[in-house]
Amino acid sequence: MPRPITPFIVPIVISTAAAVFLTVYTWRRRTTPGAKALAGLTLGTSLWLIGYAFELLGSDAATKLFWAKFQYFGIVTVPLMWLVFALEFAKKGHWLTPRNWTLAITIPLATLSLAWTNERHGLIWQEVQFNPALAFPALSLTYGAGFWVYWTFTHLVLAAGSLLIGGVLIHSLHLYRWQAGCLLIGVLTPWLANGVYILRLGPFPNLDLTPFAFVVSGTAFTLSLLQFRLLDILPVAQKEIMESMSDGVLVLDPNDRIVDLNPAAAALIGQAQSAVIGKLLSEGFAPWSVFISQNDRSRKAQTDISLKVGSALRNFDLRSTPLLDRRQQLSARLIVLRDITDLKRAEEVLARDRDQALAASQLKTELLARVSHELRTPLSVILGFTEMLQIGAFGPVTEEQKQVSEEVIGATRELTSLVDQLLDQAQLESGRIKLRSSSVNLSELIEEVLSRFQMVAQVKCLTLSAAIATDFPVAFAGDRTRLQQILVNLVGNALKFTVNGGVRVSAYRSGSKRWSLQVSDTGEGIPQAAQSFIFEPFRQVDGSTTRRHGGIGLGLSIVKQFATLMDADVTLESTLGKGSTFIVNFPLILELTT
Amino acid sequence: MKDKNLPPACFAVVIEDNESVARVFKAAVERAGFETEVIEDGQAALERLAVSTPQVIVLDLHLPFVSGKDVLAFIRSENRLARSWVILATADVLAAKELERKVEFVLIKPCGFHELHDLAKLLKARLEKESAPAL
Repeated sequence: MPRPITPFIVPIVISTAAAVFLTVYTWRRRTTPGAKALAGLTLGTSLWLIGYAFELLGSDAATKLFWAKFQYFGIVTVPLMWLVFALEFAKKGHWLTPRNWTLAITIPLATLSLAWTNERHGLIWQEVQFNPALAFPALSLTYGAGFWVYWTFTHLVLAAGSLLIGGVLIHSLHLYRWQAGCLLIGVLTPWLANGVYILRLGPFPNLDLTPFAFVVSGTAFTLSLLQFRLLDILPVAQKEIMESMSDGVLVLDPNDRIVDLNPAAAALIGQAQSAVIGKLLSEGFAPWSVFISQNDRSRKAQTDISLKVGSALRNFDLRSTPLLDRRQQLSARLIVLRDITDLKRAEEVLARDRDQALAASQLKTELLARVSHELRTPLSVILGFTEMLQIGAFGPVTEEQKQVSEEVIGATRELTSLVDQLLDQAQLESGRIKLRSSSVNLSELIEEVLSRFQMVAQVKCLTLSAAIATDFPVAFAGDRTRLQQILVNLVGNALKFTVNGGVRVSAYRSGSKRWSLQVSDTGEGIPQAAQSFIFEPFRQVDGSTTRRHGGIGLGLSIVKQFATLMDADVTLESTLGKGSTFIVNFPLILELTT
Repeated sequence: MKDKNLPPACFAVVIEDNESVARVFKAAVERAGFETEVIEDGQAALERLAVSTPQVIVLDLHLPFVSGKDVLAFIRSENRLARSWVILATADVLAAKELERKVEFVLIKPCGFHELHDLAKLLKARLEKESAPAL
């Protein structure tokens, strides 16, 4: 007749359910390091508890003994898995070689065999009794020698695992308080429960609390593992990273006491790691301690320092980062010293190269300005005397002489235009150009520019025309001088490259707040490949074109640069053999601001 | 080349160290009807302007001994020269931009004979208009 269900079953069933749940839960997350071993641990615990529950439910001694034997599937699994978990957690998984495995499972397998063959030798249980009159319906067991061998083995394994996990715990205590708390519970509970059972301190002498304790352990480890992502960011792994880092890393507690440092930091301090841990930074380990001590501890800080390493002086980037706990209180500070000597040297080389390039550019700019200045005076002489010759200031002039004089004047004006471009380029490069806004009458401006080129157009038999849209404002605000330069350069360029046909200037509104200046020609066009660089200074389509038409390749570049200064953009549409159209799209400002 | 019957007041100076440019400028101003004198350095210009009151001063900037800028500063500090027109004729575009508010006219070199002559003629006409007796 089966015994009635006793209230002792309830906690066992709950614990079993928890253990089974943990087994499934951790197995599903078995890709996380350590999760498989945890699943093994909780599976062993589940088997142990199931056996225990049936032992309590069993109505006679034989049934109870069967389930007591069944428990040994779990009893031999749990310590092994505990050890595997501890090894993986402490990053010592490589110790699990086939040889070590064989050694580790020998005693548990032997114990399991002995339990199931106990009737023949009594090495596990010398005596098995069942007293139905007792309140707690478990077997009363007297253990044999085999049991005590296994008991010793189990406790050695438990101790080894505890030491491994404890070692990690000490390193992570100041950083991972919650994880460390869970680990501590996980490690201590089985010891506590086992002590209570062995010393018979529990409420019922035959009640073995150990399997319950492993449920608590399993829960604690699972929380550590999955809730706090302990194994995702293994402190041990971090420790290894720290150890192998070339950067010096120190951890200071809120009182600036060194709680951890890596070998690189110890080398920089010039003392062994063990000699430095626990000491206050203010004890004068390094010159940089002053910076760290004076710094606001709750804020990130950075400075560059120089330290003597061996006989060489090296540069370091020193960073201090506060580590805050969940209540946003300062729990530690992380100090990282990175050797930036090579970086500094590279920066110095770069800075030197940049300075040299800037100096060369400055020299070029000054040279351009100087050349421009020095050419203007002799040009004045040529222009002045030629004009005087032309008007007969030095005696009667023939028609031919007049014509030649005109050509000299034309050449002088061309040369003047080049000098102007050189100076504009020099000014643009030095950033000295400032726009001056005034009222611009575009119609007048275009007329002025076209009149300047009228003679060139006549000589080349080209038409030169202009059209302004009827809705174009009579006046608007702009830098008249720069606008004029843009138009002069565009028209001059168009005339230079046009042999037949002509050049047309038009202006129109291209939106409520923009206007466009368009210069079209029927010239030879610009090849597609050249269109990408035609606006760069000193660039021209090709050498032969340059030789044929002259110029130094600054006209369009200056147009582009002036346009950019005026918030305008320049577009080019060109077809080889048909001509080119340059469109400068300006912002339209109607009111003049002073 | 000089116009006859010049009123004694029509006096101009060309302060220019380049001999050829000075010759062109002198001719241009003279042809407009001014009695013109060429001064070749800044120091001489200061000395001459201390004792004379030209109506038109054609001034270069890069001059020996005393710069054109200093000469201009002297001119502007002298009440006696307050009515003198200063034509800055220089190859230094940047300096010209700096000083353009302190002078009446700016000519950027290369400025030839005609440009200066036309301007001088305009000024001469204005002078004559100012000195003409009211009807």
